Amino acid sequence: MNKSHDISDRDLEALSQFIDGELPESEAKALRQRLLAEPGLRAYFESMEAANNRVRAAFSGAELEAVPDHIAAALAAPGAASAAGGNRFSWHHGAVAASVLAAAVLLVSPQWGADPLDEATLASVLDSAPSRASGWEALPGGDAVRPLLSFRSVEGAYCREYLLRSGDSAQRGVACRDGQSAGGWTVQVTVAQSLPGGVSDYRPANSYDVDAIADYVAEHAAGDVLSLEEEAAAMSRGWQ
Amino acid sequence: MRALSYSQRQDLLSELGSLRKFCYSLTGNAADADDLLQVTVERILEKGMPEDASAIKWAYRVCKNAWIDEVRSREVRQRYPQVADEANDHEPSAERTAGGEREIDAVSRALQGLPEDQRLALLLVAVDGKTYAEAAEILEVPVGTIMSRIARARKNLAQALEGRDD
Repeated sequence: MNKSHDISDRDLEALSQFIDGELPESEAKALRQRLLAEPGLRAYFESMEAANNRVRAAFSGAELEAVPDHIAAALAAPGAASAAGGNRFSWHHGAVAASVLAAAVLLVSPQWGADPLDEATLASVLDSAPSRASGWEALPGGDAVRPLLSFRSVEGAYCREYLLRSGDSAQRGVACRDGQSAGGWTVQVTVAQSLPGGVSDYRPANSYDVDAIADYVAEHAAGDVLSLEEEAAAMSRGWQ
Repeated sequence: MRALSYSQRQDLLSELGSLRKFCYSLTGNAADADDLLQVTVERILEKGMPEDASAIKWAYRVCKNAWIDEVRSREVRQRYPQVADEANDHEPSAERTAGGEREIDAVSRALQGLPEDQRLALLLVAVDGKTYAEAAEILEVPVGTIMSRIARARKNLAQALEGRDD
């Protein structure tokens, strides 16, 4: 590239916005035509785009998103495994507050009548995979599950919250161990999640939906989220 | 400020991987990235956040501020060759070829040469996939400022990368 080529600030910003997909379409259209007609501008664009691609590629790779367990644990259950050591608020406090907010909100129906095969497959992951902040446990058929946390219900059963990814859609749910259904876990409540952009970027499909989970937890959970140690101990006892 | 709500905590747990990638892009090596992530989580737990705050944007903001504190205290610009030496020591990634490591070094060096405000804006958008509006909220500046910082970052970066490749 001709390094002494000068570019106006306005063109520079337009190219940059164009690369980020933030240029309004009418301006993008005009810019595309200019890129065809002006070799100097096009050369600058290609140079910027090449640099952008190198930055993205240099920081791609799943290992960059690997979160140390103790950090995830501190966030999931600060009372049990605090990294900071100073903040012993009750996990219930947040859950109760969320349920108050959810009082005026529509609940999403749980996925009753779920395919028993699906539940058995999900159950095998809930049986044996520790909670995690990133990454997935693969299921047959290309689906994937991420157990998020575990707690005991007021009925004395172990329950786990999880993310389930299937193709382009995802759902967040809570399942509890009952020893009765196929596989031993019964899904109690699920909400749809949308998948904008990257794999690790989950949002509720509806801004009210996430409260259905919080509402369930507020009503049924006894005590704090299990620490990773408590969870591992429960798992080794077969969730008894 | 009140402690995190259940929803805020769940949002954060889902985003921890992306936040860790942001930490890596800022620090250039795995060990420092983990430290920065830990400090970020500790500060969030310690101080809480407003009830209506978006947990994810808040977390990026806390992380950015923790990083700026770290930069000021370590004077990283003088010491940034850590990328070449310590990065290779701290993370023996079996998947990366020698060429891959050189490329990350080259890109990291070029990024480290940028003014911090340009680098932060560029990384949030180009690496972490934030929109200009989200980046503006995280960095607490107007969107126009984000646009010009990113544009200048790209211009400087392209020059730095091409200069190094000669």
